[in-house]
Amino acid sequence: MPSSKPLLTHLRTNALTALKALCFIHFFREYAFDIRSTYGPSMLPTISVQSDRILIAKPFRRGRGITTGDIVSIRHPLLPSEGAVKRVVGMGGDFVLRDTPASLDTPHSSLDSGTMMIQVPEGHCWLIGDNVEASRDSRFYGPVPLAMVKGKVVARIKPWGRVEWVENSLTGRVDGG
Amino acid sequence: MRVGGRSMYPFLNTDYATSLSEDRVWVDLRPPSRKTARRESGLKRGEVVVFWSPSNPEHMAVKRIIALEGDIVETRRPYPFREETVPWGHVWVEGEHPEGERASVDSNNYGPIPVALVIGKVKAVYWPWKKAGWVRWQDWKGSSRVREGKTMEPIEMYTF
Repeated sequence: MPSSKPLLTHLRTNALTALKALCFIHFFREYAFDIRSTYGPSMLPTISVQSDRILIAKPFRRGRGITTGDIVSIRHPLLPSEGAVKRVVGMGGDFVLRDTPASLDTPHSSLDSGTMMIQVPEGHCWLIGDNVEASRDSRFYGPVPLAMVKGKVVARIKPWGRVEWVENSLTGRVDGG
Repeated sequence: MRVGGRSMYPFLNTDYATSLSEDRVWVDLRPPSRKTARRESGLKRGEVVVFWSPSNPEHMAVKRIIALEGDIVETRRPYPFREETVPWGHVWVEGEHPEGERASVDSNNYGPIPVALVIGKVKAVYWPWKKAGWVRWQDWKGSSRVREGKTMEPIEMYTF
């Protein structure tokens, strides 16, 4: 059949193009940017309970260039096949409050009512959800190795009305110390 | 992948005492199955795994899984407590080197590691040729310092 050869070539070209596109998408999502949908109340009001989409910058993977106040996307320390999004409150060497700040549990009580300052181990970070009362975070599972960081959350892109860059609201205050 | 150092001697890097050569191993990177609920990781006691070092995010380490979640481990010296129960989603890893406790930096230093840090399982050695072959991790006898146990899935985890 004389006509079969061009057809085969055509198919092969198409297959190659598709393969290249897939590879490109894979590398882009692995090393440049990834878009993920989120759920859960732990990051309110920054990220809402359902169906937000966030833009994750992958050059920050494994905690490269992460500073206090950044929001990071991590692999979950207790549920290996899941992920989580939390705000970095302390990096390795920093001192953090191990428990919920006393004023939230029992107003008017001082720091020494059962709470404790601990030092975050080197190569780890201390993660807290923005919605302190409804978040399972480092207070529950302890400091998280930086190797679990998948990337830094740089923007919220899904609810069209609330598209904006995610700001690091802590930098200004922390740099002095 | 290359393996340096002596923490897994004599299992890997058998020539550590006599030469500077490093073993090269084949690592199975396939992500563990999500289906199996218990033992969610699909990891077994005795398996040799490659994982990101908890203390240095740019470093990988090779160790043997000693205990799975729920097991109670009798710890070694640098660890602050005498016994430790491995939490949900974690494994206890230790090096092999028999000489002393300090030969290997492992879970006795940094505690149980999250399964999410595990990159893959070491399946075979392909260099040096003399001892190339599958890694027979099943031959591992088990540790007398481990009491097998079970742990509850932390249900609170799903509330938020």
